[in-house]
Amino acid sequence: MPLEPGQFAEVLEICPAAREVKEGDATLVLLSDLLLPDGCQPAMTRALLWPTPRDGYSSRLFFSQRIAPAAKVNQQALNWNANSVRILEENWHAFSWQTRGGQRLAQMIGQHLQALR
Amino acid sequence: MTTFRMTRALFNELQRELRRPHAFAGERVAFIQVHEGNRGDHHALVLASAMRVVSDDDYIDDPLSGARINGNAIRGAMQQILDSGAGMLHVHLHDHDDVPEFGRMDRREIPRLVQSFVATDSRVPHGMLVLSNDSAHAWVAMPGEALRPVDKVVIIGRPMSVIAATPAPRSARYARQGFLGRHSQRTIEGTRIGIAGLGGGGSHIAQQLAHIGFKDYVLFDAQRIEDSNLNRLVGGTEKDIAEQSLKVEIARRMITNIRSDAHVLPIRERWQDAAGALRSCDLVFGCVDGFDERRQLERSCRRYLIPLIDIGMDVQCIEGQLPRMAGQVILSSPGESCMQCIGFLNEKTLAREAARYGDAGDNPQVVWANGILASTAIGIAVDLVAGWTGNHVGLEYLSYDGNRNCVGPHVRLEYLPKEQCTHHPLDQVGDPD
Repeated sequence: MPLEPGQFAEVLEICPAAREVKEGDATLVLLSDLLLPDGCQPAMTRALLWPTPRDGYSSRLFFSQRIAPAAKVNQQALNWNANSVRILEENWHAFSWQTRGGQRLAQMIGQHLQALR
Repeated sequence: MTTFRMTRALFNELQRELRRPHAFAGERVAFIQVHEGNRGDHHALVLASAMRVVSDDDYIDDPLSGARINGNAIRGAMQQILDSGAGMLHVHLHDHDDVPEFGRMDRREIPRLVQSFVATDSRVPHGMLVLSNDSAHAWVAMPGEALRPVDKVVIIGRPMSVIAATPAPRSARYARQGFLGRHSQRTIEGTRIGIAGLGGGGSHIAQQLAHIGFKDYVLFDAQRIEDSNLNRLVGGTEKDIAEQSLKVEIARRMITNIRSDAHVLPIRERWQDAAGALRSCDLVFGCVDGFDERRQLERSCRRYLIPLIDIGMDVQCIEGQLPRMAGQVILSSPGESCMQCIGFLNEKTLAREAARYGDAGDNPQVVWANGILASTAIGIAVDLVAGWTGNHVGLEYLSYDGNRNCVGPHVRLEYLPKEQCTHHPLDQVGDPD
């Protein structure tokens, strides 16, 4: 199912290079050059939002590489439980992070990034 | 090296269309939409997704030509190239058996049409395909390259046809499997096999494939043999453990000891990290751990029109009960029902696995169960390429009961959805945009 245009416009405000992509029967948001919270290494990355339930999570945010979070975040706190997961013929990584269901796309991204602050 | 792949369903659809009588045209033509795969790799792929019919009104009555089409048909095909971002192949039929060739007139006329497709969008492959009753031959202009014959045509389905310029084997070695069919050994030798995981299951598979005469292998496994593998890893020795040999190297040694002229590419990485090599395979065996990895492997295979045969086993140990040994063999063919359709992969099991932080754990594994599952998978593979049983079922889901030593169709097949698989749409074949 295509993403709702109003919601996608909100994502473009966070990440102007975002685009809608299809993987199988899922519609995803590819976030090129997603700006990460202050102190993260790298500061910007390629990411992929899976906005529907997957692996027991209501949504997942995959990163093209593991992110070192801001210094104030306990480095051990992030459980990178998805490593080199193949989606769209690229390898992606995600940490275990549950978000509330029924959120708008931009809110989902914000909630996932909250883990890195 | 260029391989052209299409599904058996599309091949049959083209056959029906091209044999449909026309009021005056002696033969018909059609177009198929194609997508590039494995861009940048030396093993290029051209993957067909859908047919475009030429309308009855778009044929020109020309006694000098079997099928002459008008500008409207050509403009329609060109518009589809622009709208879809995909390439286009002109298709016609030669009504005979065995591998067809383009005739003199085909070689003179059709390339002009292909050139106009290239002018429409030069970033995607275009070309020409000729079918016979049971085979096919294609010429393709890959982006930036001239129009030339592809090295291999693969028709995915059951039976699966692998049409390559493979010399017919002259050895008497395979005389006792001659019942597989007149061209079977040639097909077997022309099929490039991928094995993801060379542990208990994959090592059995490699050994049997070598005995059958498969010649071309890509093996994926990053692991080295450990003492705990020796209860089941076929070909592994105590010396390998002392030397910490790579599992792919053990498999390569085993294959080439059986068949010295085999071409074996051992990849000392996970298949996810050597995607180009996986895509180059015509048939893949999945001997991987965990549901999520199966989901990923099936997705990649579907995208590049590769049949996947998955095997796996487990032993459930519940306190107070006898251990229960079970396993599965699944043939997942592009265009057919997938592992999600049959309920083998579902959100519940994937969520449970993710809750264990993606660790499939050290599941119990034994050589005899691995052997039964591997032999069953080999039986499916040989029938797939040789078609000796006449079985046309594109999906196999076999269940293994290790406590009773029996293998049979899984009960879930009775509840298979009648609708076509929506998890892997054919219009997504090829490299992602």
